Amino acid sequence: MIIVVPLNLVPDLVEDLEVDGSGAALETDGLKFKLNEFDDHALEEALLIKDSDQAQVLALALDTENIDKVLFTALAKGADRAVKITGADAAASSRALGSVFAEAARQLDADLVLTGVQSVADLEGQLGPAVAAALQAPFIGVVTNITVAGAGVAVRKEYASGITADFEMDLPAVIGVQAARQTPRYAPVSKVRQIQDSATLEELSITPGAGGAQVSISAMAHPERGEGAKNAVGYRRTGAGA
Amino acid sequence: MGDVYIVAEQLAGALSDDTFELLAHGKALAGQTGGNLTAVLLGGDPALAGQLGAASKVITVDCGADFNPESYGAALQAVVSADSPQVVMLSNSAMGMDLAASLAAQADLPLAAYCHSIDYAGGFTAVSQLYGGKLDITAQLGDGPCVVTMLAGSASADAGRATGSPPTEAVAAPAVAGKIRFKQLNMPEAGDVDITNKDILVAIGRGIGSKDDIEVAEELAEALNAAVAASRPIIDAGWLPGPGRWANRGLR
Repeated sequence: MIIVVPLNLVPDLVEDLEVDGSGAALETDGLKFKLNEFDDHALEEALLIKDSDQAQVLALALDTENIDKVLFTALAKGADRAVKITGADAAASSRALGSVFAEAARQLDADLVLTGVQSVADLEGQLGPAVAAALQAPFIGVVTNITVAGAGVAVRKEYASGITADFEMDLPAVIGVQAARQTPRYAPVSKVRQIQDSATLEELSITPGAGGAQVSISAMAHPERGEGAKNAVGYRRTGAGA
Repeated sequence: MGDVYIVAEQLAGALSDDTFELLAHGKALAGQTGGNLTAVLLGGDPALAGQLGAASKVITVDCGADFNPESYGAALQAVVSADSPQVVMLSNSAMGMDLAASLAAQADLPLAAYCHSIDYAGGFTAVSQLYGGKLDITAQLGDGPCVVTMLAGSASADAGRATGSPPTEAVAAPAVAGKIRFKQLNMPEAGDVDITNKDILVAIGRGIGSKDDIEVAEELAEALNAAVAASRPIIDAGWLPGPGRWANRGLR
């Protein structure tokens, strides 16, 4: 089984986000990016399937600044191949990127595409359904557990209030991963460096198709703050430093 | 054209609160577009239509008792392509996200997700909450047809509650390939604390540091007659029994 995992960078929310002079876009100066947390879970779930069912895991990412480290880290964690997609705009919407990743998945003979369930920036909808629509493959999102079942996969989807549902899916399939069965594994820096010296990143050129229906952003603003939390009546610090 | 469609959500035989929030949003929006508000009830028990009195019409599709992204998605697409509503509103929930993004991609309609408000004045303007709630994005969706998903808690569910018998139209479910098969629904194990029934919660997150430190929160909770609630990483790490203690109701 070939599992393809698209890895996407998103703004690091630890930093303050600023709006640029246009009032409708992020100020990119000083903006730091990190791997979408849900994509990390998608990769972990793929590696867990590999551990139990001998799958081949392909980490996929758009060619942007600092992406090599993300892909080498994926290799250090146990991915079999790392592929950098050139020719597409990483800043495009999740909808537009859906067809790019779908075309890559097709060329790489993917049986399973695991995306993060969502990202902090996917205004135009989640990536997974967009990939699935372009592949004409079945899609289930908000999934926490994937196991091989016969010629397909069995998945568990989460609803609100702790209710879950079990499904079986035929392959090829696209799944939006909410959380892996375990905390994503850690790759030590030394191992990433070692991989960096020995492994090579593959490249795949994809020409994006027509954009399709899009929304335009007319404004971006920090939400109005409420009054915030108040200390409870009579609250008083005690102990050291009080 | 001009009509506002909301997608009702049912799980384990009951309509979700989100459904009534969507009706409240939809009623206000239909006032602006000058169209009618229609609720689309996918699968489940068609008698639930009796709770959708805030809509002026209910479309039911018998696409299976339990949610299945394939059959429910095909049913929604069939309704939307037959009726061409000006806007389709779904909840930004585990079901709504699957349906909305698939519908938008397959029917090539603009979509704005994670919205807390939407207005119409010659075109649709929605405000979406992105970047972990750090920024509000004002999105222009054009004159429709378009799709939006609304965040839970963004409208009053009570404002969307109305009994009554709106006219219903039963639409035949389209045939699907059966690539997704529903197996079973798993209800949460009873016995743990129900945090929705407590007046005071002591909420913890990653900042608590270690499993042993949870004792501090538990002592405080006991003194306040409160319960300890936690964010997802605490539950996933097994530091507290989940998912009854899981503090955020939505996904974002």
